[in-house]
Amino acid sequence: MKVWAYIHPQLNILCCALLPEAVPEGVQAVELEVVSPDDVIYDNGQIRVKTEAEKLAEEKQKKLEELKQYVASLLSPTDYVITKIAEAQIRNDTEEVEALKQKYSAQLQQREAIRQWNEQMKQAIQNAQNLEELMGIVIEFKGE
Amino acid sequence: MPYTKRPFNFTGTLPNQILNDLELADDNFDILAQAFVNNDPASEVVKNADTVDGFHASQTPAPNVIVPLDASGILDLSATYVKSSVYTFRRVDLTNATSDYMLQVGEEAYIRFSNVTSVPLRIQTDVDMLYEIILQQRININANTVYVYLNPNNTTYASSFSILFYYWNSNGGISWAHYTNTDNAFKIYNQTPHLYMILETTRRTLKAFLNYEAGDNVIGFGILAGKWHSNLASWTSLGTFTFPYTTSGYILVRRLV
Repeated sequence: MKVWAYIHPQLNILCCALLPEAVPEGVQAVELEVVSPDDVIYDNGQIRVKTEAEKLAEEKQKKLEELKQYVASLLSPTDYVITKIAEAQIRNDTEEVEALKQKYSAQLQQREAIRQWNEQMKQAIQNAQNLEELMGIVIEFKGE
Repeated sequence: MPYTKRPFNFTGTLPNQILNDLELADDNFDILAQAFVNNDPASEVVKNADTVDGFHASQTPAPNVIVPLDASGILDLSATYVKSSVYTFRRVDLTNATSDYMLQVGEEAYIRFSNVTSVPLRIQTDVDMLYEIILQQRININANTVYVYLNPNNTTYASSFSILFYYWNSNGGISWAHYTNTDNAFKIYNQTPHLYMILETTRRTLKAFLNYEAGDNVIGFGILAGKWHSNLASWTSLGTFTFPYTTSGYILVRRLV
């Protein structure tokens, strides 16, 4: 897509017009061909398109943040198990700790599987060589 | 006193026939006179002539009232013609508009799009306006970590928007989908969202609920809120939707205030 990038005269921020007539009158704009307006950057006083390496690094950060949020949502329903065990440990009640581990062994195994999967996903994201490979990584835990 | 059609039947032989026929004629004149205002044909106004099949006509819509067409033969529901207090919308097709149109209160813009990555709404706006927006796409693709945006003034403004969205899906997934205070436009959602949104131009906030598809049989439900937290640039054009993929569908924009 084409964008017309300029520095807003009042706001002094980078703007990317999606239509040529959206550029404020009297403002000098740079016409750029990009995949998304997010690809444009104002760097050292110059408007330019992000390099592939910059885009990849940025998308990796987004993907890692998305993974973090997703894993938190998977773990939160069984957080009460950890709280109960931690409370028993604070009381030095080792018998209760063992009993709770036994009682909630399925939940604890599930949490362990989620954490292992999380580590694998982090590695896969960090190892992605290009945007296509990165975008192909679907964040979805299928373990039971 | 019934009306007698063709009352005269003069044969010249019956007694009092002239008297009887004249009485029938008087009765008929009385009945015909009653069709006029004040029972007086000289008024030249027929009773109930302002109704059709019992319905009155008026430029103020109301139940069981006929609204007249305007001089061009159009049912004009704009504020300058019909004083409508009835909740109704007049549709304006902006599919191929090339300049911004000032949508009036009670008007609905219809914008159909096909195989595009951006859709300018071509709607002029100002402060103190409230819109309902419905976006419906005809596709279902996996568009993970890439987003649909609404760009006010058909432009991005660096780090000027806050947004949050949360989702539930038919896989049992529940989570934040995204949140930030430093976006460059109203970020609408990832995947393939179909949404209902309320957008207002004074506080520059939007709220929406939506369902999304993700390229498979999963259905998701999402809620989102957004805010353009800089008010130094005037909001004069409602904006452009941008998509991270080629898409088709339609957008309805209704101006409520």
